[in-house]
Parts: sequence; C-alpha cells; structure tokens
Amino acid sequence: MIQYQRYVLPNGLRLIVHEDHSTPMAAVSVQYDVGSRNESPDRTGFAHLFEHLMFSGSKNAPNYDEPLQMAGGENNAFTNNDLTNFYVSLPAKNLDTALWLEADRMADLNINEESLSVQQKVVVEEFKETCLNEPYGDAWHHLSALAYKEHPYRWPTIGLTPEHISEASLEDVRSFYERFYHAGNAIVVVAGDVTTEEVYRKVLKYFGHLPSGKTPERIAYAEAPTSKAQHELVEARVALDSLYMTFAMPHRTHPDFFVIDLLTDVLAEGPSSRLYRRLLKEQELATTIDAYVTGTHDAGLVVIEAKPREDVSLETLEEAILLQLEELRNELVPGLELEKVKNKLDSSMAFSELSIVNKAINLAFYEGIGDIELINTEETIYAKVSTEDLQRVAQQYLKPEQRKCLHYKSLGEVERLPLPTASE
Amino acid sequence: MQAPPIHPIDHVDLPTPDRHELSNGAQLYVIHADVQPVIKLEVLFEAGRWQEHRVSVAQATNVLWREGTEQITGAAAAERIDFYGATLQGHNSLDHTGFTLYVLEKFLPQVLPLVFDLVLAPSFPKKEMDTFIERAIAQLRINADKPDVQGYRLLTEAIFGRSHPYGYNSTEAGLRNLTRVDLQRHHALHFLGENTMAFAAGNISADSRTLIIEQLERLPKGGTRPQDRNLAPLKEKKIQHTLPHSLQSAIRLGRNFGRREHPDFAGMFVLNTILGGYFGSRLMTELREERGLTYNIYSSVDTMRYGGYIYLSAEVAKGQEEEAIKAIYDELERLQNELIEEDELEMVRAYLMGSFLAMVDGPFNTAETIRTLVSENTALPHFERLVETTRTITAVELRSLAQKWLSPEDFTMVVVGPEA
Repeated sequence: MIQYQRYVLPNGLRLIVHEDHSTPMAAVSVQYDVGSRNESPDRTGFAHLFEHLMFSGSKNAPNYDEPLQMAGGENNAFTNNDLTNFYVSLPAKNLDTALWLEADRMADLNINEESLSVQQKVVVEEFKETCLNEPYGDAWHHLSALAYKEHPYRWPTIGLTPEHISEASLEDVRSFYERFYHAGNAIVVVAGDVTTEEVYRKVLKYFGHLPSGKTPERIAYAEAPTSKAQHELVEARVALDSLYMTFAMPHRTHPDFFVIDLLTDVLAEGPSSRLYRRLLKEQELATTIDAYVTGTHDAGLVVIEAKPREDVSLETLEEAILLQLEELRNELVPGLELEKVKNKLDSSMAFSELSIVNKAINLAFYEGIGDIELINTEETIYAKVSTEDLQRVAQQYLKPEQRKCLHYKSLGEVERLPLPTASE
Repeated sequence: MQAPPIHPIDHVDLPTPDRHELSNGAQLYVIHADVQPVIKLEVLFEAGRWQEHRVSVAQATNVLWREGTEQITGAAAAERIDFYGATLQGHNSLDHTGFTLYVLEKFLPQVLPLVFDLVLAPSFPKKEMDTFIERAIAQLRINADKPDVQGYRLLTEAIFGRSHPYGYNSTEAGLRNLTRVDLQRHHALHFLGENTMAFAAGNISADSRTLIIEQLERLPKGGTRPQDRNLAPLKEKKIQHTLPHSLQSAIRLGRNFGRREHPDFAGMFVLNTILGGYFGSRLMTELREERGLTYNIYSSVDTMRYGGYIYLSAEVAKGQEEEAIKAIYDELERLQNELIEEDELEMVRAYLMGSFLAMVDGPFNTAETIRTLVSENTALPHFERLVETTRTITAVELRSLAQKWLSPEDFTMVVVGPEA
C-alpha cells in the first residue's frame, strides 16, 4: 500500500507526494504526457531526441548536471510510446536543487543549433548501438509495423530511420517544446524523506507561476482486427533464427489487461512456467523463450519471443507454441498454477516498494494513465482473477488466426571471431 | 529564479552489519531494517574461475546445481520455488558461484531448505547438461557478432593472458569438453563451509535468522586454498578485429591495476570518476556532449578478489575511430600534465558523497556494498577510507596517480569494427 497525496496546481500541474522516512534520500520524477505516439510519421524518433535536448541547460541553470552533482544527485530519463519521464535521486536536504532545475527547464529551456546538432549525432550513434549494430536490434521496427497499421505505435521510440533524427530542425524542436513541455502537460512526483506540506510549498514556489499551455488532444486510433494469421520474414546477419509472435490486446486500464498479464506469466514467468519448462527443457525446441504484455496506454500487444535450437525450424517452434496456446483455450489452468503466478506478483510488488525511485516513477505512470489509485487497487484486481477468466481471455485474445509473426532468419554467414584455444 | 543553496554531505557511514561466524566456517552478514516483509539472501561460494580445474566448469556448475538432486527433479524444485513467489538467480561473477534468493519473509521456511537441498547434493543430470551446453554455445555465437562483447573478450585476454582465470574466453570446444564428473568434482571441492559467505538483507526476524544459520550450517566443513595463477599478458598492445558489416567500432582500452586493497585504489576511484566515471566526466563531456562522437563512453576501475584493471569503453561511428582515440589519449595526458581545477574537484567530491549515501541507503544497497567488500576479501573499514580519500585528496596527488597509472603507452587498445 503506497500512501500519497495528490494536488492539482492552478496552472494544471499535477503533484503527487509520497513520504518514506526510512531513507535519507528523495526521488523526484517529472513526467510529460508525450511519447513517440505524438510524432508525425515523417519525423519519428523526435520525442526521444527531445529527451536528450532537455539536458542542454536552461535560463538560470546553463548546465543541468553541474548543480545536481554538487547536490550529490543522480538523474536519468526515458521515453517510450506514451510518455517521457525524467527522474532524480538525491539527498533529501537538497530537494530544492532538483525542483529548481526541473522547473527552470520546464520554463526556459536553452534551445540552440549547437546542442541540437551534437545531440542529433549522439542519438544517431545510440540508434546504431542499440538497433542497427546489435543482433536482432531492429526486430521491433519490423514487429511494430506488422502489429499496427494506423496507430503511431507502428514505429519504435528510437525512430524509423536515423535520417528522421538528423533531419529535425530547430523549428521542430521549438514547437515540440511549446506543445508538450508545460505545466498543464506534466506530472511532478516527490517521494522519500520529505513532508507533504513542505513539498507542496516548494513545488508551488518553483512551479506555481509557470504558464499552462494547451493540453494536447488525444487522438483515438482504431486498428482493424486481423482475421488471418500474418507472417513476415526478415533475413539478417545473425547467428540464430528468432521468432516473435504477437496478438492484439486491450489498453492498460481495461479489466482484461490484468488477466492477460497473468496469462503471460503462466506462459513464461520463471523456470517452472509452461513455455520454459515444456518447450525449452522438455521438448528441447528453444534456447530462449519469453512472453509478456507491452502495457501501452492504448491497445497493446501480447508478445511471445523465442529462439529455436539450431536444428529446429521456426515453423516447428511456432507450431509448438500454438499448441500451448490451444491448451490454454481448451483447458482450465489449474488453481495452484494460478496461485503461483499471483504469489510471484505479490512478491515482485513488495520488492519494488523498497526503492523510492521506483515508487516515484510508478506513481507518475498511474497518474499518467488517468487512475492513480490503481497503484493500490491493482493488487485486488489481480487477486480476483479466476482460472475461468484466464480461459476466457485465452479464447478471446489468443486465437491462432489473429497472430502476427515475425520470422527473423539467419543468413548463415556470420563472421566468427577466431578464438584462441583455451588451454587447460 | 536563482539557484537554491546546496547543503553539503559531510559524512557517510556504512551501517555495521551483524556478523556470524558459523560452526562450519561460513560467514553470514545480516542487514536488517523495518521495511516491507521481504528478504534478499545472497550466498557466494569461492568456487569461481580461480578454483577451476578445467575451463568453464564454474559457469556450468553455477547453472546446473539448480537442476535437481536424487530426491527431487529440477522441474519440481523450480515449481515449488516459483509457487512461493520466490526468485532464485545464479550469481554470475568471475570469482564466485552461488545464488541470490528473493523471497517474501513468510515463505522463507518453505523455500530455503529446498534451496539448500539443491546446493548440497546436485545430481547434474546429463540431459540438463546437454541443454546448458547448447544454450551457452548459442549465446557464444550470437555474441560473436557483438562488437562490445568481442572487445571485452579480447581486452581481458590481452591484459591477463589466455589461460588466466580473468583472461580466458569460453569456447565451443571448451564447453563441449565438460563432463558431469568435472562438475561433481568442482562442487565437491569448493561448495564448502569455509568457502561460503552469505548476506541476508531485508526485514529479518529472529526466526528467519535462525533458519538461515541452520541451513548454512548444513554445508560440509572445510575449505580450499586458491591455486597460484600467473599473469601472462599478451605482447600486442594494439589489437584490431574486423566485423565487416558493423556500423560502429567498439574501442576498449585497459591496463592491469590491482585489488581493491591496493594503496592507490581509493585515489584512483576519485581519479577515474573525473576521467570517465560519471555523466559529468571529462570523457563524457568531451567525446559525447561536445563532439557527438559516441552515445556512451565510460571508464572504470574493475576489481576482483585476486586482481583488477582499469577499463575504458566507447562505441564510435565508422571513420571516427582515430579522432576518438586521440581525444581519449588527450584526456589521459591532460590528467598527467595539468592540475585539476578546484571547481571540478569540488563537484566530484560532492557527487561522490551523494553516491556513497545512495550506496548505504536501505538494507539492499547496504548489503550490496558489504558484499562487494567481503567478496573481494576487503575489510569493511575500506569504505571509510574511500569516503575520507574522496573528501581530502588533492589535485597534486591526483596528478601523480595519473602519471603512475594513466600513461597511454601502458594501455592495451582493442578496436572491433568495420574495415577502415
């Protein structure tokens, strides 16, 4: 149970405070309601590029990092399809420094040609390092495009191509900042060794006078359901084949989300999970296997990823996975198995509550999906899921004819490093 | 609005853990706090690469001891551990095998005795062994394409030597040579009381503590002395490996250093932070923030139980390797030739004091800090020395450390990437 206090400032800024006096530290998380979903199709990767630009300094803090380091703080940020989150952890007695820095860059970011051009290069190198130069690193480029036809989720957060990033102009940067980076589109969470009253006073002082921009409109996208299984083949220079199977599923706050989440745990959470135990261990078809939900604000995906053993074809592995899904549709998951995944979930929730940074980021996330109390009620929702519910969602969402599969095939001509023969 | 005043952190103390010396020679550290009812128990056996009689046997033993005993299959054990919501992870380091167990305190009695059943009498089933070898080889093949992994492999091999525990690289042949007898031998010789160190953190009741002690004491008495291992660095100081289709080059530089207890360690920790140990570091500022040559560049002083090395790492665009290497060398030389300005030094002190505070924030971070020290056979007061050195080291002292340890010609350089 996470106790918190929620405020909305007159300028629309949402503030969440969570006290935790078991630590001398404070965590500040500032989340903007903007992600790659807000990009135009010819300027993808922009939200993430902009996350980098937020470290270019601001009017009163020409260098973001220096004052924070002087205050003994650490910070980082991430961008995904739906949101951009900046978070700081520092000694609680220096909370002011973090709030001041965050408010200053919300108000008056330094936007200039030079920092744009440096960060464009940095992000292009990041693109190469994480996608283009990494085995299977572009799998999500193919997978997103296969799974979504209308929704901007059809491109990954890093962007469709490095060119989109290098072509961004200063004008694009300015208008993006104005549209999305303002008090009315932001959530501030403060957690740690603080008092609620003190935080409220300070946030009012640093953020209260900032203007509120227009809240960007939420566009609804409808994806046509597929009635026939779709397959895409990619051939690349990787050592082993890899299989990705997706199914469309509802958005993060839909009641079925929680049921499907548990169902993917039945499939692949832990070494006793079905796919791991049966396909990897018993049938020896795969060398790695995983199943998860994407958990996006809008309709998301169930994803099953697996790499077949060298002597096993992608088709054989796909058939074997489908058989497991068929069993979920036809037979009830035993009660003990359901209890197991629930226990696992309880445990991971309890562990995640030990970190104030985690708590701050989670509070911002739930506020961002429009239901902050879900952070506490979720536990009950999961607890109520029945074995019949699991079967129902398997029947509804895991139909073989609605799968979309990416077959990532090895071209087979991988350069092998001539390794030294180990002496013994 | 003007910058608010900053309150400096004057001191950071490592909380004193409860230390238990058990009847079989095992050591247990308990870090208790009134937090959520959870326990993280880390148990390490000095049964790593240093103790191997055959390459890769430590890695294999570390994975396969969990695969069942004569009494219970690996599948049944995994099922029970999962059922209670616990997570059992293998410990992966060069020096140790072992595990980390995450468990709700209420389920410790159901889970821990089972984990020790596995630890004490693994049957190393042939089938599981084959699966492990297949998976490890698959991973080796995927890694053959990764410039970062290849860069690390080539560099550590050059610094320590091809047969040295910290230098050798796993191979398909080495993995295929392993037999069950090798694993049984490694287990019997090294999974012993005196080789065991355990770290329990979280909300630990008296009953839980008793249970942990009781289970650790099931380990047989005895211990092993580490074998002597000779450093055999390669002669080559420049190693180039081509991955024709790569879009970037992985640049790795390294040199031998020493253990954490080396008298220069604390000063080098501060110097390394300035060079490439935090976001505001010189390498990050110059190569990333000023020139956009790389997404990530860092340096570190990596220490292990029996040795250590200084390590620099960056991925840069094809064609920009030379510029990047020159910029790195310039930074090394600047630290050797110029005194660090007081402003910069003050900032690094402040930043590090904050990070020390984070290292002892809560039972899990504290346990990790203690585990790092103990597993490297370093006395706990080392932490205080590190804090004290950070507060007091001078620019002149840092310059002489740079002169001693950061000469470009002492570094081995590995570049893995496309043809020039």
